Amino acid sequence: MKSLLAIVLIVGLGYLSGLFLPWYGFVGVAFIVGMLLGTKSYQAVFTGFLGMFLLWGGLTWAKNAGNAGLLAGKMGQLFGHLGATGMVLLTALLAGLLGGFAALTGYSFREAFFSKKDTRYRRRKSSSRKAYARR
Amino acid sequence: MRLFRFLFFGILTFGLTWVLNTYQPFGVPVPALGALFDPVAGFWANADAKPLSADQLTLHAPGMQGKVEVIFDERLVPHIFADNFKDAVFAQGYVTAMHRLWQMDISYRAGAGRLSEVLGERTLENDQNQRRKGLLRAAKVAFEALKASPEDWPIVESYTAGVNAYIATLTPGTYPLEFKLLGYKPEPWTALKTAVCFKNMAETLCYRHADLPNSNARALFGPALFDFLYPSYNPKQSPVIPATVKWDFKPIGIAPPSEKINLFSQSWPKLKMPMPDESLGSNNWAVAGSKTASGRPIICNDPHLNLTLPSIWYETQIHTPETNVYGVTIPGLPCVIIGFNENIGWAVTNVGQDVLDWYAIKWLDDAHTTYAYDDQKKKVDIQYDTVFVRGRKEPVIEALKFTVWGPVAFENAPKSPYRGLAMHWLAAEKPEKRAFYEVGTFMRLNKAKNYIDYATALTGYDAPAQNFAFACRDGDIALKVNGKFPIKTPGQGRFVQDGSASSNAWHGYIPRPQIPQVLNPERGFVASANQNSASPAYPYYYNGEFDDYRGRLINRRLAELNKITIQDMMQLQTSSYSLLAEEATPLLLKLLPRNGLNTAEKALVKELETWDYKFRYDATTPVVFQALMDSVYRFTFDEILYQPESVELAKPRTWRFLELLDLTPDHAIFDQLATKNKKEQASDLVLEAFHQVAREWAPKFKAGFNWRQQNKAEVRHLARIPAFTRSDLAISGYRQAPNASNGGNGPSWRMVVELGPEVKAYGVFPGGQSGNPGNPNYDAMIPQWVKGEYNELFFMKNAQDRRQKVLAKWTLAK
Repeated sequence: MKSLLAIVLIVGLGYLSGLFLPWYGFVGVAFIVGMLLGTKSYQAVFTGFLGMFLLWGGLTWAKNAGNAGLLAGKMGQLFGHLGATGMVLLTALLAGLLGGFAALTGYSFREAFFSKKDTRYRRRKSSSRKAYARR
Repeated sequence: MRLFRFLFFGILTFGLTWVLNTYQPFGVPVPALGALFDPVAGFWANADAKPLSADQLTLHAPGMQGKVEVIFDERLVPHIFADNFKDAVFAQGYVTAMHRLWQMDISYRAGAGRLSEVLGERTLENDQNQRRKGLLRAAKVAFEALKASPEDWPIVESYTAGVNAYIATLTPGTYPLEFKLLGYKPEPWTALKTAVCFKNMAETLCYRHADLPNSNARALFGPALFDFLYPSYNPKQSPVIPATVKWDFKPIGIAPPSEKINLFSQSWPKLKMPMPDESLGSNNWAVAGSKTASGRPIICNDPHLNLTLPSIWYETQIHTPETNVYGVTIPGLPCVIIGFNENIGWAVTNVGQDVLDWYAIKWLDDAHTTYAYDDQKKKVDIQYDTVFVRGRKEPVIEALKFTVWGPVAFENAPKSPYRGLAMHWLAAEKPEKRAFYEVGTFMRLNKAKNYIDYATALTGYDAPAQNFAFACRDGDIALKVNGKFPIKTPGQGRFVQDGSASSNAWHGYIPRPQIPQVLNPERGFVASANQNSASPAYPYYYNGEFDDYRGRLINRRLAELNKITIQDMMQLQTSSYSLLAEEATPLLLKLLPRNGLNTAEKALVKELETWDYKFRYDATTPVVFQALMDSVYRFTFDEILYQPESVELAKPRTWRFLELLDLTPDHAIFDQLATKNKKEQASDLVLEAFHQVAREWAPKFKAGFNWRQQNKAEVRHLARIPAFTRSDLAISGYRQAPNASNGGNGPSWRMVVELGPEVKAYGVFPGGQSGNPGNPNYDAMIPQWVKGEYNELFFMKNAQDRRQKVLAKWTLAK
């Protein structure tokens, strides 16, 4: 349930950020969603990836269909002779990759600074201890 | 560990974001990919769903006086309806920028030497060349003149404001695609940039010079043989102004050749300064009503240029209470440049006269700061110019040196052999003070009603000199060779001259009434195709590079034709018939010994014998012809080709080569240097060439090779991006035929206009109105252009005219 909510939020907020912020606004969105709704590392990566993949993939799919693949076909020639559909996928993958990393970073941020109950890594590096101490 | 993990992914995410938002990260030549692939503001935003973004639009544009309606037809041609010309030009600037902003920016940068600012090191040499040759300085001089002109200035100012009104609407998402790919932002347009665009036109059309290669050839062959191989006038020529025109005036200022003229015997190494291609040229003609089927005059134009996408030309109609004019303009220049209105039509071709001369400077000190000029010691004028280079922290400072002649164009190149050469270019001269200049000329042509208006308009125009053909609804046809022409002593400007003698300067300028021109000639037509302006009887000396085949063919054809229709004119414009082939083929066949030819060779002879001299794209005969011509030429002038490539030598003209083959087939020039024991004659060379061509080409023809692959017709994107280029076009044409398709060069706009109560106008150019590769209109007309088809131009009578479909109606108001 949390995963679905995370994906919906990334798509929705990612879309809004695209309207008002530079393209990398979605990195912040995925970071925050990963931080708030991440349950596991792989879950954060998965939701970040899928959310952004769907958002950029969906937007460009629509753009590409409206343009009958004209520009994407030409641009594809500059990127290893990808076809128009290939360019849609490449765009989606690019956003998905960065979205996945951003959500994972958000999740890791919470884990590093806010998580209390996890004991697995209690006796580890001094740098972590110092970080705990600072808090 | 958790902190480490967070830091690891944090840095990775941040780093990746940074890389994807950086143009050429770590020097890798890729755009900022994140920004480029962004569906909202990246290249996807340029994937237009419709040719035009809005069917209806009301824009508030400060800087206008009244209200303007812009109606776009289905080919995206803007039809501008305004209360006054100034507002119309404002709207013209706005819509031209909307379709062609990047083209305007990059053309300006190329001319002014500001490419490296956005493209980096790879264009630095080009920029340095542009600065050294003084193009920007010339534009600034022209700008000062424009600014003082009561006619030109308001127009340029209004156009500039229109362009900037469009730029003000832009966001990074709506930038033209190329800005995104190259990672830079549009900057405001200025009147100076328009002046640079005019100088670009001059550079394309009147910058060619052959002083160095001519001097070298003369040094190699000696004066007698040089004059024999390189005569300056083709006796078969059919000049722009027919020989029947008499020159009943007293020429002024013609001085005897200078005694101090210094014909250098040294050889000058090849200039590392690219010149526009020689095969640029154009056709225009006007036919009087006495020769047409309708009884109305017809005017035609097809300027041949280096074809580009976005297209060179942009179609526009301007309707004001004073005029209703339609035609094409070059983005960056206001008004219609080639076109027609309800009363007149005008058409231009380039004048090939040489207006750029090189002078050898006699330096008086090692630092090259003073030079000899007659008995004086002159100080060179040094100006420091800054070239910014993307990726460099410090700009490149160029010390430009100017002499009385003009810039010492290569002073700064290390160890340059040209450290002593100064360039005098007419288009860089300060114009005389007058009421209007080139902009005024075009504005006046846009509004012209008759011959007097046309003739008056042309007096404001200096460079690049053009053959302005003219036709008027009232029946007049005319052609004026028009521009500023230097008065030269016979032979002056063909070779590098001594720059220490003031007597080697030009001797003033030909008064405009004495420049070749004709009104209503008896033959019923006027025409030009870059050939000599006038017959040798014309009292003033001029030199240059002139066409020898298209002009003669067009004059012959127009003389033959009667009851001319619009279709006849279209056929002539798109004809691939070559007079060169018509004259050269029988000559080569006459010289070819027939004994000893094998079966395949005999078949080739047959092919040439039955050829109709048309350069069809799917034929092989044109390939054979061209290969044979090239081979025989190479064998004949082996004396030139044996020279090291670093020394550039003038090449004898094709017409002279054929004349030599015909009249003096046993001349020593045909003897090959490589064969010591044998003395070849023309026929030996033709035979050898024929064997060679048969051997080399037969296997390729079997594999399906034809003229299309040889001619390689294409329309290239301005940044040479292959994906935005249209290549391998199946067009029938030849550089020496009216349809002068030749690789990347060709007819950049074809126009046929019949004047009368109802103007009938047709046109096509290889491209589209939209400069956006993501717009279906971008190259939409190329298939039509290739096939030789035309669009009926929608010359709207008023804003309500709906004889053709319209796509959108926009309103611009303050």
